[in-house]
Amino acid sequence: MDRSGQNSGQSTGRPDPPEMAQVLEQLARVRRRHQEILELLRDWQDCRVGDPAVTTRQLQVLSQRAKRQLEILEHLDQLLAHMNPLKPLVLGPARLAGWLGRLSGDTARRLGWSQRGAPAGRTACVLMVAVNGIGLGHLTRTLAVARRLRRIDRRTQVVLLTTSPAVHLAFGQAVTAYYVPSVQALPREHQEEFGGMLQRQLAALVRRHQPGAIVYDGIWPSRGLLKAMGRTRAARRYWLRRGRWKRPPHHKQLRAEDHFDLIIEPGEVGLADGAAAGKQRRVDPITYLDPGDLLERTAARYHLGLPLDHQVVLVSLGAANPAINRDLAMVQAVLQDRPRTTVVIAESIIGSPLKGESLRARFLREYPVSRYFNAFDAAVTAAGYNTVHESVTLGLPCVFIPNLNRDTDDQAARARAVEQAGAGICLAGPDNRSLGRALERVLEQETNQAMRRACRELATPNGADQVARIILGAEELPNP
Amino acid sequence: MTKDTGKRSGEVWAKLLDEVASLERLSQEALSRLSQGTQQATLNQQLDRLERHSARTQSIVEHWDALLAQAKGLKPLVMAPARLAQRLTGRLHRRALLPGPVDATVARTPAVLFMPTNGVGLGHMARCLAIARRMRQLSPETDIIFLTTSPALHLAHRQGIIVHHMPPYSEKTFTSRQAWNQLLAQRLAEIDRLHRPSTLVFDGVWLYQGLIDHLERSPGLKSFWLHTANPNPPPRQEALPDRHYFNLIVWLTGPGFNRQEKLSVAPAYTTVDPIVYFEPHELPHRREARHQLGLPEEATVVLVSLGAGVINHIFGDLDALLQVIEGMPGVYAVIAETPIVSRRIVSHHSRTMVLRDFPLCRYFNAFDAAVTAAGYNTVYEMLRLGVPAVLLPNMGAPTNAQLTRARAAEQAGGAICLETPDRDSLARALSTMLEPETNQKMRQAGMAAITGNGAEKTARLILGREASPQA
Repeated sequence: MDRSGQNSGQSTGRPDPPEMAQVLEQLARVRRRHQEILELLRDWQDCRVGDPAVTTRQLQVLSQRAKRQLEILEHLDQLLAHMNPLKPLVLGPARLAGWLGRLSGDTARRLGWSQRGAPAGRTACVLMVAVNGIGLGHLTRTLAVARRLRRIDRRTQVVLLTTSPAVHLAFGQAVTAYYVPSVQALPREHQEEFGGMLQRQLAALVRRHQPGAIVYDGIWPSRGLLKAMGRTRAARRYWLRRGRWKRPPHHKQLRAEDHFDLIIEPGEVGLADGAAAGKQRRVDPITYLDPGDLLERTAARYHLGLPLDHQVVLVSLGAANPAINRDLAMVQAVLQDRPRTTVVIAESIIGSPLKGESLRARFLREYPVSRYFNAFDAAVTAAGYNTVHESVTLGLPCVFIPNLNRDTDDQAARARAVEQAGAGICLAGPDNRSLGRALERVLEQETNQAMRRACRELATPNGADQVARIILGAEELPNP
Repeated sequence: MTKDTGKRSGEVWAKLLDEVASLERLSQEALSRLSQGTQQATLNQQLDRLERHSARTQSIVEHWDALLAQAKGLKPLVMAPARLAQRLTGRLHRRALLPGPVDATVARTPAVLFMPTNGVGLGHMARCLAIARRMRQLSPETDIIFLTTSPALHLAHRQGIIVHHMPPYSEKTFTSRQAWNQLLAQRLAEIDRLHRPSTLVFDGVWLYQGLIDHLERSPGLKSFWLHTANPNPPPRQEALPDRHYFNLIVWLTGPGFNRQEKLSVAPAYTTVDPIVYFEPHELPHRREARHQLGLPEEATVVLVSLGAGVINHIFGDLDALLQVIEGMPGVYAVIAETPIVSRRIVSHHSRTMVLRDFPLCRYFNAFDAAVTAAGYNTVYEMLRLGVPAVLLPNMGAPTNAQLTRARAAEQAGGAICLETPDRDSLARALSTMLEPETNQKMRQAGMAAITGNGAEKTARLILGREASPQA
């Protein structure tokens, strides 16, 4: 039918389809230009050169104008689309050609994601996926890397898909965050639909953003994820996988490795640097903040309204700890009558609220708590990856109460490694007496200083920087 | 018929030419503005580039214009069938992009879907959470689901609410508003399939096409629109004739906001008192609240809460403000930081602490006075829970009419409104407010200004426990 329309169109002297094609092509060019202009304007706004007030205002006006122009162009495009029944005929082959071009790896070269050589212009998009469970661990590591991606190249667009409700942490970091409720957050009768939902979201994200790299942080990539990844031919795929497994990985987990180009394992205190075997690559431990990001002691105490002349103990036992109320009560009982001591309880920002606020303890509902580490003399914490490495890298002597109920994470081994290095104390299954003794020890001036020294010795550069460099192609990769 | 179509297509054509002309004008204006740019070398370089781009754009547009002019004589022939086809298929086309229709035979559950669509602050989110909390108390078995654009979704998650989320529209992420609306409709359809809610509660200022599409497709869905009863609404809002998509409009009234006239396209409507998270009797007492914050019992404490800091430049105001408070002997300042900003406030004074918590009003009994912006939640919480406040209305906020609200609160006697605050006026207002007698009087006046909490009534309306008025 379209074809006949075309023929009759020619006989009555309508514009030739090629001419229309030309118009459309030019329209596309105009839009691209305008998008470039907008990019440019945004870059300026970030740079803020010259008199900031004047420039900013001017740029705002400009960007509004450019936006309006884009709107008009879009409107025109729509009008044209209505006017032109031949459009599919003209655009069909063009689209096909474009698609073939993408297939041929043109995109890969253009975006600098080609297999060899340094990337040329890195304005690409990185899709980060942290879809395991509700906790903050995976999200924190992912965001630690995301921050640094932007720091290395501000033009990198970071898109995040997560099941962790702490999405607001991505807010203000120019990360486009998508959230899907995790399986555990859904009512039981809907849990089986989770896989499909996740897969649809991922597929849509990949279509929408055309990422040049995909970074997955988790322990078990789902089928939907692998499928969606398979659709992006140009993308490099990374698996950011925490080590220290309780038992050897399942064979299915190992098979999933085939879908990734590189498995990056963030380092662990006390684990030897494994040789980079095959696709695996070990980097230094990842922490969200660097020591320079912390408030110094007085400012941190002012900030939290803590007395300067008290010893302050942070208690942070994690959202997933089933015995949290018992442990909290124990800490409070132990420290209740200790003179000049303040207890600060960090409540998980995503867990259900803790019961029984007491007059004796202060509550902190913030994240990341590590920003205030300099305010504390010691801490009682669980032994998850982030907490332990924060305490070591940022130098806070801790009594670790490892959570022994985790499926895969061997918290006890991690805590013991720190204890062996003299940088903390591991208490598996504590009671009032052992906890009291441990706390006295970490709060005692000399031991405290010794632990801080041991932390400094254990501390490494932040692995997040290395991961960001790997993703942006600034670091050589092992040959596959 | 053909003639009519031809006429309409003529209009479209004229519009198109107009657009081209205005495009040209705009790019020229942009160019002239650019040429007045600063002398910075880098900037000039960039400007050159932009100029080149713009010149090229213009030439393309001109060329295009010429091409189209050539084709002008043919337009009725081209347009008539196209317009007709478009008219017939327009809606179909839009719907074709949506996921397949939900099976209407699957019965709806009593679940309630809230849609707080936030701009910058927490306003809509906080309001919906307050209502959700009442609903939990009234009917613990009802499932509550949120679909929000707010990054603060963890606040809902911690209360056991199932949260779905999508990023708000931004030109960086979405190619067009249409693309965003499609995503919205998709998410809504997905949620509808997953939970089969029987009620939808929309809390937002603008109606979105994606939401309208969804409401049109879901005949069995009961829908509410929570809407500030702003007597001077911004024009864009008035232009939307789409209110009839809802079963009930809930006007959120309060001092200064009492628009109650019937709407021209009239769905049923009702009014409720301000929605406040806590009731006065639910708050911990002064001594306990102070302990929780680590504040001395005998000190004078002022709360400082200037809002999200995304619209207004809170840092400029804040420094001056803190200097005033820190200059008052023995007065402590607690700066409230909203849980979603990433740029952090740093305290430099031993009598100044920073608090990042939600809901903030939990600690209200700890404060003797407050200096705050004049958003919906803040002002009405202050009045209802009895904290005398100096209100600094945010003139930049586009829709929520902070000035009207602040003035009304002042008239009610519970607050002082400072439109153009400076150090002197701030210091004066604060010391007036901290005099014990005035303080007490303002406290009482504020509490008397708001007689009820709308959260309860709204929750009842949503649960169908209170008869909603008929249109």
